[in-house]
Amino acid sequence: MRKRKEQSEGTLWTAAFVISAVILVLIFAATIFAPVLAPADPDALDLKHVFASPSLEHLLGTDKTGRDIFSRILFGGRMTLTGAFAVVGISMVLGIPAGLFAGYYGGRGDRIMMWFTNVVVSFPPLLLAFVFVAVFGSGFSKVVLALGIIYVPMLARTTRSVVLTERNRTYVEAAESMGYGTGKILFGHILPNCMPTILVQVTLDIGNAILDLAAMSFLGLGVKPPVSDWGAMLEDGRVYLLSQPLQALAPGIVIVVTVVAINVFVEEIRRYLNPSERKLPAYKTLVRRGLISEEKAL
Amino acid sequence: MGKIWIKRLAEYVGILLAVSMIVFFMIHLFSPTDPISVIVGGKGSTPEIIEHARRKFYLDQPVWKQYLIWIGGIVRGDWGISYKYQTPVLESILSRAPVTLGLVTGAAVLSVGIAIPLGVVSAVYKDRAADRIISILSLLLAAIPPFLLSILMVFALAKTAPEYPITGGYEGIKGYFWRMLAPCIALACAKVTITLKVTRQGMIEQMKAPYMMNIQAKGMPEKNRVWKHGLKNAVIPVISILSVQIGAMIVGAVLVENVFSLSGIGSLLIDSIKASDYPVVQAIIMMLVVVFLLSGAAADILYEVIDPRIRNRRR
Repeated sequence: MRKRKEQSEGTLWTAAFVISAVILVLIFAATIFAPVLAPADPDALDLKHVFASPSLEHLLGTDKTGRDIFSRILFGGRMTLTGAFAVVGISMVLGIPAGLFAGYYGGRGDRIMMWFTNVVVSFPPLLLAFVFVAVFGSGFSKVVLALGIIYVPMLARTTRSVVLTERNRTYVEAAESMGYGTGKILFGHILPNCMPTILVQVTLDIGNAILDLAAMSFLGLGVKPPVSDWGAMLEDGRVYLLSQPLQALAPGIVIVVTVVAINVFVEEIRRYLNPSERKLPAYKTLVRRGLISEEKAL
Repeated sequence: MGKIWIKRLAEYVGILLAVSMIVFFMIHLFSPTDPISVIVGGKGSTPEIIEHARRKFYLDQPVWKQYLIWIGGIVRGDWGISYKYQTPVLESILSRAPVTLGLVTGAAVLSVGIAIPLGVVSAVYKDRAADRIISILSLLLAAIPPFLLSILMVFALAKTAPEYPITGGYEGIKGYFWRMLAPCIALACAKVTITLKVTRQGMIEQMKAPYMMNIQAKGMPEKNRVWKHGLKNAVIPVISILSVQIGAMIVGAVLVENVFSLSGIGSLLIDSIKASDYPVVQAIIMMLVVVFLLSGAAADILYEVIDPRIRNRRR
């Protein structure tokens, strides 16, 4: 019976979801297993084969010092993706508790936090990152830390808005009347119920973090040579754009594909979580499967 | 109405003072680089030179006094002297202002000029072919970050139209517009999507409103109904989005300037951050905050111009 119900309630497995999920798995796997998959050492200089065109040996050619671009993209992805996850991790550790407490307790603390949040959110994240780097100096870890902190208010605001609707639910009242501690209620009862919305925001933030990190490295404020990420590769390649277009286009395309895949993936999950937007099976399919009878539907 | 603007002004001054203090004290208390090393640079530094530099840049004073000197100078139009180039900060900002100003205004005009008509069209033809095509195009535009789009444009222009100036300076007003055209398009494209979405959403709501049916029954031409009555009501949320977009465009301009080798304020900011040239960094940050506040205020004024209900409520 349960299976019948599930089958008629629409599916998460739309074509867009499957394709974006497969792309994401491929990209993550490729960067995680970079040491195994990469055909060459990403930092090995080969001055005899400078600016080589794509070939079997060098899938995407080589750069100005003969380094294999394909291998560098795999290893660069490690930097970019770890960085993006670290950014989001930092914002989760600080933002979720802040949102939980503000939403649950309300009052003056909440008002001050919301005022502060509104001020910070009105500035673009990259501008705040510029200020941060101006004060504390540039470098990959500093940029990651800066973006992590800059993403906190946004996430706190999202968390707070979900908590506001959850805190008046009966289960919270029940937990309170049973005498559970506030920590237990907040993190054990309310948080799990807020998780779907928070996770959607967090996944979107990973995409934004990839773009922001790439922009910072592109401007030369992020990673320092010889370490490289996708943004820095884009900047390296830009100089030789006309003679060696692949060197800049390859990391650029990888960035766009990753970010678009993340956005599509999140959008499909969000649609599934909202039943009124969910993709439902066609009427004919339902009839064929015997889930609804034709006379009844008419 | 005057009262509200006086209150507003006081609020702005408060925000500016707070930002100036945060930026100044954070830079002067936490920054790992010693200003003296930036000022003296590679020149052979004797104790006399260092002492002279210290006095010239007020570094011998306590930090709070330095702040007062700096903020007083900002108000009077003396924005300090660059550590690295020893030239007045205001001068180098002003000399680079035309590029960034043109880039951001041009991109804003372009993105609005593309987004609003397309948004209206896709609302009028909702769920039909035109709407589908527009929404797919706008999704594609949103996916490409401006710095990548700039790179693609530079590449395409160099291959197809080698005579188009993608680097270097410009001569005369015509040269300026010609040089700024491609960067403006690159910056505008990514910003079309959100404005388009908001316009479309607003227009769809307005098309359903009873007054639209009334106008239609009255026999007003379709063109006026949509573009005059509908759009005027739908444009309010678009304006509030635009004032946020201006901020995003300034940051985008930093990246686009970099790719198109334009020497604007954005590239000055990045160079100064890299060189720890703090007087320039502080001045540019303060200026950007002023621009943000002004674009917010401009949006509020526009609401009142467009919507008499807002105008009368305030009175």
